[in-house]
Amino acid sequence: MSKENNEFYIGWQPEAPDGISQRVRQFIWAVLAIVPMVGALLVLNQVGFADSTFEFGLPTELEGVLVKQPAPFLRVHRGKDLNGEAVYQNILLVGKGKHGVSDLLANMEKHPSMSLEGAKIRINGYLIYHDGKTLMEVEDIMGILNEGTGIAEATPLKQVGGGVFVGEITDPKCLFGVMKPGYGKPHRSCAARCIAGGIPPVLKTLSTSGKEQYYLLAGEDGKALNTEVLPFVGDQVMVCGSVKKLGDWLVIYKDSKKGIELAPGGLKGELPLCN
Amino acid sequence: MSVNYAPVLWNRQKKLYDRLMLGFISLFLVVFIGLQLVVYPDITAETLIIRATGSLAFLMLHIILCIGPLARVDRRFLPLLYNRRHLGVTMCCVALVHGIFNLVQFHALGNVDPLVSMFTANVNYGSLARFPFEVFGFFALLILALMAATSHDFWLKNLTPRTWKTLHMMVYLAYSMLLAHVLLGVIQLEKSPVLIGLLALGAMTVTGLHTWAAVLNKKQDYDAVGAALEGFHRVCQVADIADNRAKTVMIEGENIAIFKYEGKLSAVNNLCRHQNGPLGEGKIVDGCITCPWHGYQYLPHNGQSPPPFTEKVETYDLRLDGDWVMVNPKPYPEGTERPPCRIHGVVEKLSKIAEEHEQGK
Repeated sequence: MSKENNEFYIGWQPEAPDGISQRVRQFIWAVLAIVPMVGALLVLNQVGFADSTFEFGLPTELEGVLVKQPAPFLRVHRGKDLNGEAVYQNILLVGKGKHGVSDLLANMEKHPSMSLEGAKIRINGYLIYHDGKTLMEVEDIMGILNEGTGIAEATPLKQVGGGVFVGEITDPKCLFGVMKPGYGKPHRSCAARCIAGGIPPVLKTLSTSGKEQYYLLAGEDGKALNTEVLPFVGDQVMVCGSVKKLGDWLVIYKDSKKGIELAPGGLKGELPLCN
Repeated sequence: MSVNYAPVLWNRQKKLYDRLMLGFISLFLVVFIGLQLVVYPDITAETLIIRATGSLAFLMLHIILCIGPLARVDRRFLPLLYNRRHLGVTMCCVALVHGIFNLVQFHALGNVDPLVSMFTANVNYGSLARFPFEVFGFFALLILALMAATSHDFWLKNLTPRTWKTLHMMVYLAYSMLLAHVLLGVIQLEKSPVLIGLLALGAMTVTGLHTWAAVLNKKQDYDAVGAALEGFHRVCQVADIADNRAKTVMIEGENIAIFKYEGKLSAVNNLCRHQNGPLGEGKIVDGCITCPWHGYQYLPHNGQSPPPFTEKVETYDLRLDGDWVMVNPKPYPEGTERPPCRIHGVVEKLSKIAEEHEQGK
């Protein structure tokens, strides 16, 4: 037996034999090369993260008119444009954690006959924004400046299209800033939890040219679709409906006669006709 | 070896091992987090922690799984095995950080309990592509945590080495589940061929090394030759066993190591009572069979650890048929003294017969 093979390592002895030490040192050098290389390859081969923002810890106070459908929005007056027309920004309201804002609003509506729809309110919370869309995680409704009439202040809803829209259903709170990434398989359960908690669903689509577009999803009557979309959260789906523009947001009013379907692989964007 | 239990029995080698391990962990985290902040400054702290700890724990698990077969293929890797327990427990702690951050990030603050959410937020259990990958991670982490919690000689002794070893062999189940966790989870989003290639390379390295070690071990094991004679089986020739070393043989389910030392032969059970280490790959040091894994020692003629230690292994009867070593696979109870089989006389006698045979010619 060679000297090298006759060497024997015993851990509780202070020193390892020379041949064994040498082999272990070779292993250490190999790991020293592999560890940073693997770390770097893992980082450099990610798809990357959106430049979205969640102003957590930086509260903002806003005043505006509450719109409850097709999703809870605060219409905030932003001044006037060059033509003297009033400019509004629609800020989608969401609750804390993985909850919508409906419980908070329900608590404020002291009597069943009372509605905050169309009420001017003051709220504070944390802004979330990305790609022209703004949301607020509402911390508190600080005051009702005047009670609503049950009718939202003239909300210009303009029909801008219709057909079949292919994309992934996720929740806007995570998608627009709270989580990165706020879409895809790793985020699927979180999105399901958020939508089950009352946050309105959003359809994230990708056109054939690679441009992302986002649509809030609502029922044909403008009511919430959360329960219906839950089994499809995180999947590539096809949704048939008409699209209306609500200020900065696009809303798909899903055709009540057509169900949501899983999309065949490779299908993208928007198809003109519902089958 | 120890008589009393202590949280960690430190020695120079273990301290060196742990310092290197912590150095490599720091190196990975510095590279991963540093590069991430430079290349993708928009990443959130939670995602950074989840990805850094998940990647690190999985890399550590690959290294842990490679150490065993490497040490079987080349004994000079045995120092890596000596303190693998610390590597395993540290890996589990890193994986726990990953698991807890995931649970909080993706399942807490919702309308159901986070643990309930983990199993019910995505119920596509019937679809491979849509499968809730978190479930694989959860059960893998449970196995790793159970292994880490029992990674102490107190549990080894009280669970019995066989049960303990069976429990710790579940690391392969955990590894398979983690492969599924990664493939059905983050790889569904991060589809870079480099990442898929790294995952495949890792899995191939682990399986390849295990296969190589298994083939080599099979070659090193002796098979009994011919039929039994009065319960004794032919194993090998005396010259096949190096001084102070052993040959191993599996007969009738008994894993036997036959040691040659000081002109004698003794046979004991091949499995160390500490962690079922291969005693037959050990060496006679200071007159004791010394386990290659953690240095546990046994006297060859009775299978008992020298006092004050209390570990014992089964012993077997040996005899010589010419220069053939024969063993009776019927074990004696652990620690039973059996007289060693002397070989000096036999070798001399054989030489004399050979000499006479030559002269007769």
